Amino acid sequence: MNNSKMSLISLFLCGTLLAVGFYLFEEYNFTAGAQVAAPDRFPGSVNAIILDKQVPTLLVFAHPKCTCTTATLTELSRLKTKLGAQIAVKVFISYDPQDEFEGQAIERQARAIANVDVEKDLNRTVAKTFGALTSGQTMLYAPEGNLLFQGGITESRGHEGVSPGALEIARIVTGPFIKSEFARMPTFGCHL
Amino acid sequence: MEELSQDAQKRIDEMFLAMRSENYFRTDKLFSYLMIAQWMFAIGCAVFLTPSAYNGSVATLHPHVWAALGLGGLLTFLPCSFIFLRPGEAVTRHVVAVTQIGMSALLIHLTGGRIETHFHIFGSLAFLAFYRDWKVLVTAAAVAALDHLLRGIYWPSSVFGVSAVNHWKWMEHAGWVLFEISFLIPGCLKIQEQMRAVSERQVKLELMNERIEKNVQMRTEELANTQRQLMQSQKLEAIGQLASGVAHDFNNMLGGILAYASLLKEDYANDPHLVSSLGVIETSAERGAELTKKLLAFARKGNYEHTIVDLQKTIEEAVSLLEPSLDEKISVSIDLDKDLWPTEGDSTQIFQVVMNLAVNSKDAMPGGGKIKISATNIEADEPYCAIHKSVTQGNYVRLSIEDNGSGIPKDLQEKIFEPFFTTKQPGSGTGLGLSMVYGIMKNHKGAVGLYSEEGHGTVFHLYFPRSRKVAYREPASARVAVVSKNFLRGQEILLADDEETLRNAGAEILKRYGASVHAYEDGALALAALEKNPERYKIIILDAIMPKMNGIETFHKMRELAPDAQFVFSSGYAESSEITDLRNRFAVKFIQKPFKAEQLAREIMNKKAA
Repeated sequence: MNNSKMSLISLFLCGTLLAVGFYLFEEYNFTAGAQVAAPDRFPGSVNAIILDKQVPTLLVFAHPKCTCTTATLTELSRLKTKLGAQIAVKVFISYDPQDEFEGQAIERQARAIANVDVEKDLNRTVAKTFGALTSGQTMLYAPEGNLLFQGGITESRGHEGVSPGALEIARIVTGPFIKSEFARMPTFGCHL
Repeated sequence: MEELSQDAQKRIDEMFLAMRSENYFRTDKLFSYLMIAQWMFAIGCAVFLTPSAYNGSVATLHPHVWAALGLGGLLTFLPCSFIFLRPGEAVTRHVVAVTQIGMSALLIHLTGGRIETHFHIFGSLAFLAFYRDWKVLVTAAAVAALDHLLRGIYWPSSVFGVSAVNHWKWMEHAGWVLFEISFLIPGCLKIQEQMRAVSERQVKLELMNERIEKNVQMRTEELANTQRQLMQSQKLEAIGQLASGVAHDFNNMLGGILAYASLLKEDYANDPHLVSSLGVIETSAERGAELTKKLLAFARKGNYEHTIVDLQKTIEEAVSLLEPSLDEKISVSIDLDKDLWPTEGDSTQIFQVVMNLAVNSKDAMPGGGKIKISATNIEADEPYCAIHKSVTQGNYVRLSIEDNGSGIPKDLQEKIFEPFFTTKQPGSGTGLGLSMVYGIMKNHKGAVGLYSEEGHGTVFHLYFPRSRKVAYREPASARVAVVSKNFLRGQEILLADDEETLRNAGAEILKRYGASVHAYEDGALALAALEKNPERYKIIILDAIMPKMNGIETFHKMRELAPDAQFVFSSGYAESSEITDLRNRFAVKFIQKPFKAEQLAREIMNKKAA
């Protein structure tokens, strides 16, 4: 077999595999995690201090080792910087008692964001209350306790950059909190 | 600006293509290393940034690691396989361009879409510009644009952060790539231009080197040719000296025989039987004298002189030597213009040139033919030189040697003057004849022209520059036809000759014509005799070559003592240039030994009459 034929075979095989591989790769990146409807009203069972009475409160649920959530926290940092005191942010890092999640990269990154409360969610109690199943899921509640937004703030799995979710939150926070404004976006991340 | 030949242009193209190809190979190799390094980097990124994916507390290997291994491997293998199988080819470069942009896309994903990683695309374009092939940049840019277009259609949020975007939005991103290649493409074209300029300079340098080498070779050949000529002339000189010595001694012997035979003929004029026998002796001696004359003519070879040349005499001598060796079927004719301009040079060398060319003509006519030797005056003006390329403008005596032999083929005409070039059978020719002709004509500041047609014949034109000097001409009015007895009555003649026989014979002849002869065996004794009484001798005969004081030296000293005396030189050697010079300046006479009584008397008588 001459070089020309061999190179064409290589081109055909590699080209096909690359096309399929990239397609699957993108499909993986753009496959959203599981999501159920969050409570329309801020649940009374949860500590009322969590809900800010002046500004909308954004709840963020994170898996302590999910690398995709790194991008969520990066975007959260940008969002907080952009919105400042117009929004209150609380991050819940889920963990089980048997796991040593203390001091993991996600927790460190979350605590590094200014004016953001970080709390440990032992046995995912809070996450279960709000129906959060995927790391990176956020929920925005108005000071009155009604749900304004639910979903992720990255455009794909672990991908930084402008996302529809973050844009939506910013739009809601900076506008009038109208119930009809409620929006739901997909969340990309590991299962909590 | 020097015009380059088609061959040179072709060489420039070849060199440019080779230079470009070498760059393609080099850059291919560079990319093969880069691809492997990028693959390793992609695996590193995936392992470091996204090692695992989680489902609760259950960890699995992150799909990014698989993507880095699999997609990164394919993106590396594909271009490397082309670089290995088809290095330097255009298709390889384009495959490298496509996969390099693919690698950028993979790295951007693996690093979580960081803006910093997007600069990998711009770096890749700069790296691809190493190929100096603008088409590769277009391919890379097209792939980047296509990637954004497809993403805009299928996963719009991955590019623009929003789900629904304008269909032309992808161009905004592709625009940055176009912006970069709009600088890189002119750069590539400029570098290609410079590569061509370098090729052109290189070819010009090569051509110059070739010319220098050719010149060196030509000069070396000329030097070798000169050395061969020198060796040949040294050989000829040695033979010439031997022949000259033999001829001289032989002439002296013949001189005695001829002089005394002619004296005896006068003494016994009444005895027909004796006169007849003496006539045979005289004829034989004269034939011997002719032979020595030829020997002397040959002997002068190698002893080059620069004098006014008598072309007529030189050509006749050459023909007389050549004729005995010619086939009966070959005829030689001589046709010389009457008023040929004088030309300066060495008659022996010219003799040699004529001989060489005539022998070549003879060899070109194995079945017989005609050789024509002619000479004419030529005023070579611009139109003439335009036709006869070997000649520069000026006045020449053109000597032509023409034959109707086999002719010289066109492709050989340029080579025939090269040393050792011969078409003759081994052993028949040295290949030096025509190169010597060329060298001799160059020495004479002349030129050689050649015209030949295969099957019809050849003509060689030898151009000798015209000389402004005037040749010695025997005054016609001074010629005396009949020698009267006693015409030397009362004359006292001083004779100097180292050869006793000739001295005595000369004295005897002159006495027969009434002269009183005082003969001496060398110039010094004769000079001493003249010093005693300078007014006494009106005719002085000097042998040119004598021991103690030769004829020329004796002449100069005697002329101071007796400026009105008439001088006659005699010699067993051929007439030297010094004697020719004296003949021109002081009208002295020269008589070639051997001579008969009447010849000597006639020369003396002519001298007296003059």
